[in-house]
This record gives sequence, structure tokens and C-alpha cells, in this order.
Amino acid sequence: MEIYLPIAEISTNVFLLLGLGGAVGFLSGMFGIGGGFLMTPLLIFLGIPPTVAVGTGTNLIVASSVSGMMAHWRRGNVDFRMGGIFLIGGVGGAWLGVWLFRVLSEAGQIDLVISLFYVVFLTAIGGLMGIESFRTTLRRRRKVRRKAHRHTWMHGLPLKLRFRRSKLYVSALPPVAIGFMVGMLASFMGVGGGFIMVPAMIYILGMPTAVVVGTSLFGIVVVSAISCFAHALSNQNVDVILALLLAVGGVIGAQYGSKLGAKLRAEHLRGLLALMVLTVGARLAYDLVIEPDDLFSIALLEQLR
Amino acid sequence: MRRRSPRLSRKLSVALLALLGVAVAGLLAASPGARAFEENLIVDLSAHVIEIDSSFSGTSILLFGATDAPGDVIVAARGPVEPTVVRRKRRVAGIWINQDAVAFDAVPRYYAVAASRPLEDLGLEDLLVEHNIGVERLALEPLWAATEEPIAAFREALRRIMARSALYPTELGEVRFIDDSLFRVTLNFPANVPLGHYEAEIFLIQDGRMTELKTTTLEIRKSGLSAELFGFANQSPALYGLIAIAAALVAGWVGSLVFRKV
Repeated sequence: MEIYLPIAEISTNVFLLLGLGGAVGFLSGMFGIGGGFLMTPLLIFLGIPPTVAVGTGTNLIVASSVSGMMAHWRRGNVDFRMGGIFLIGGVGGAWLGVWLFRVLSEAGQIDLVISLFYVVFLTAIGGLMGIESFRTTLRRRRKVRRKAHRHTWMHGLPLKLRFRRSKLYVSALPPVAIGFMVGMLASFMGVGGGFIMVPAMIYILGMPTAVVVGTSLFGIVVVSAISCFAHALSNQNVDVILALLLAVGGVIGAQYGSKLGAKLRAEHLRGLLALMVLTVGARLAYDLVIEPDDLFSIALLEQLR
Repeated sequence: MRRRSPRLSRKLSVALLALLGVAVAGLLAASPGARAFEENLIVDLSAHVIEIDSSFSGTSILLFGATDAPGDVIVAARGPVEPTVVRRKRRVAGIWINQDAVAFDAVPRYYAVAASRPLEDLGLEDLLVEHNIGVERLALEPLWAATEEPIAAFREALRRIMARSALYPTELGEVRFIDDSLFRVTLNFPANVPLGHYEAEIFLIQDGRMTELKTTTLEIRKSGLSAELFGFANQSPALYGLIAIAAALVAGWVGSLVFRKV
């Protein structure tokens, strides 16, 4: 069954989109990840214009992160105050990302820059995760040495705020910077940015692990929503029909994925995820390095409608 | 030319053709010298508007007509024109990067030619060049060029890429004469057909020269839900963005509710 996507302006098979949503949803349920970094490249492989793939990705991430966020909210694991500070940085980052996106599209370099970003991030994160999971598998008991109140350079910054839920009294500047970074990545690459936010919250802000996942999901929802809005406003590249179809597949896939994920050991899961992340990164890197079938490409001069 | 016209439009067109044939024959027989009939070529399309709705997966339109005397017919259909940039990748530090670029003015986003005989057999090279008939004779004037290479390579790439996306069909369409005067040709539009204003030029060739040139137009636009969504997204982007976010929030929330009960 073919459906014409009104913003992407191509017609695609409905079941292909549902299946794609389901497959990515399955993986995100299994590994507890957003899956944006898989979805955006897959949509581009499928022939969706890169601008629409990224813009729609931001919308899809809102849908797929909100249910996880609700679950954590019910358990009281969301630090809304911290999320609010992310939001402030996220607004700036999202607008900068959307602007950069437009400039690079006009220069004909957007595909290259998106691919390079993906290759760098995926390789770095996949590599780190792989090493960590390999080490953990070798010696299963590993002592985590972390004091409740470590004082670092961060605590010397001004504008200190109290975050009761996170049991922190820190400057608002680092969370704003994290929000900014994630907002830029979200609007630029169509990813949620959990892979940046979670480590940053643990290692830079020193937030307790219990509230990290819930708060990062809240941060992802708000930052993606802003990016989605910025894309809709300046590029008109958010395809709600496409996002909805992928979301339906994603919600169903995630249920089965999380069931399977619960059966696997954490370090094995992380190892598998690392493998998957590295595979996507390697594939994108390969495409950059091998000689393309056609060296030429075309685009309308005023590409961004 | 992969897609076939829907059965309904074929029946309709046959009926229209018959009707037209009767009308033309009547006119020709009744008043050969009358002022009312000075046209030696009549053409029309089976539809002047293609509406793209959410189930659109390409379509075809029938162009039909009648001539006053035997001859050959060439049909050239072109879509909306846009300035288009062609880029060429080069290897820089091991990575393939878009480096050279040439922008062409007024590039048709769709272009197809059909004829009753292969164009070379007509022996009308001057006419073909004068009217830019055929993909290889499209003007494609450069707006600017940022390359050391000949522009011809970029022009060639443009034609090749458009052909690959089925927007410049490589095969010559077939104008079929039903008898000496009635003819028909099917114009195929793929699923990725650009929206906008289309024009078909119909050339009548008799005794080795062009005796008539007619133009007919076609509009391709979105309709139904997809048109409304597209219009909405472009006219009130802020509201569209907010609604898209709200829809995503609701979808995710409903999803979590549904599966919590299971």
C-alpha cells in the first residue's frame, strides 16, 4: 500500500515505514536508546530528502521519548528544574543548528557534514562502549568509586542554583551548555542526544543515577520539541504523516524490544549496542571514502522551500 | 514508460476520440473552405489537472487530437522550470566532497518527447534545434560556473540524473495514429513528479515542414489531506510546528497507555 508523504513529496510503502519504525523501536526498547541516530540515516537511505529526514526525526523523537519520560515521572525520577535549565540552552542550540543546517544545504555540503558528524560521534561512542563492556565482561566485579560531593572546576562558576531532586547545588551554566549542545545536535542531526546528555549529567554535573534517565528523557522531549518547532518554522521540513507512521511502528517494536532486553545481561547489551553503533558508523564512513557511483548530483538552486 | 493508464481513463479517452473524430470528419466534409474551419490540428488532454492525494503513485494522461491531412506529429511535454545546480565530487583527504558546481537556468523538472516516427527519420534537424525538441537539444544555459572543467560534462550529468529519476524518460513516446487523422499518445508521470505548471507543444509535420504548432497546458497539484497539510505547513509554519509537537506528545502518551494495560 503506497502513501504519498505530503512534505517529503514522495510516495512510499506504508508497511515499509511501519516496519522501519518497528525495527528501530525494537532496538531502542532493547537497548534503552532513542534510536534517532539509526532512524535519520535509514530514512535518507530510503530516499527521503535529508532535510525532511532530520526535521521529521525531531518530531518522531518527541513521540518515542514521551512514554519513557511519563514512566519515570510517575516514579518521581524527573528533575524538572534541571530540565528547565536544559531547555534554556536548548532553545539557543536548536536555532543555531537549524541555521547551520540551512547554510550548509545552500552550500551543498549538508550531506557531507551530517555524515561526518555521525561517523565521529558513532565511532567515539561505540568505541568507548565497546571497550567498557569488554572490560566488564572480563572482570565482572568492578568497583565504582564516586563520592557524593566531588568538587571540580565546575563548582567555581557563578549563577548557582539548588536542584533538590538531584541533590545538587551547582552553577546553571554547565546545564545550559549541555542543553545548547544537545539542542544543536538534535536540530542538526535529527537525534535525541541522549548519548551526550546521559554521560554529561553523570560525569560533569554529578547527578545521581536514579534521576539521570528520567531527566534526560525529559530534556530530550523538550529539546526535540524546540528543534521540531524551529525546523517547522524555518524549513517547513517536518512531515507529520511520516512521523506518525514511524511512531506507531516504533511504539509496538519498543515493547518487544524491551522484553528481550530484560533477558540479556547489561554488559552484553552494551556490547551489542556498541557493535551496532560501530556498524552504522563504519557504513557511513565507507560511503564517504569509496568513489561514488555518480560523482555528480543535482539540487534546485533554492532548495529549502 | 512503465506505468499504464487506468482502465477508466482509457475507456473515456476512446469515447472522446470517437466523438472528436466524428466532429472533425463532419466539419471536414461539410465545409472544406468555410472560415469556421481553418485549423489543421486539434489537440486536447484527457485531463488538465492532476491531483496528487495521499494514494498517488504516478499516473498517465492521454493526449489526443486530429489533423486535417496525413502527417507526422511530435509532442514535447515539459514541467515547471527552475534554476538547478549540478555539483561534482572530488576526493579531498580521502573523502569525496562536493567541489565543483555549475548552475543552469530554467531547467525543466520534467521533460518527455513522443513522436509518430523516430525523430532522426523525420529529417528535420533544424526544426528540432529551433524548438529545442529532445532532451539532448534542451537549451540548459549556465547561470554561473565554479569549475575548471567543460560545462558540457555538467549538462550531461544533469540529463543523466533526471533520466535516472524517471523525470526525463529516455525512450521516445509513441504517437499512434488510429487512422490518417486521429492520433493519441500517453504521457506518463512517475510518483516523484514535481508540482506545477506543465506545457505540451504539439508539432504537426506535413511534406517535410512544420505546418502547425499547438500548445496545451496541464496543472499538477496536491489535493485532499496532503494538499491541506502542505499548505498548512507553508502558510502557518508556527501553528503547524505546535500541532506536530502536540500530535507527537499524544501519540507517545497513548502508546504508553495502551501497552501498560497489556
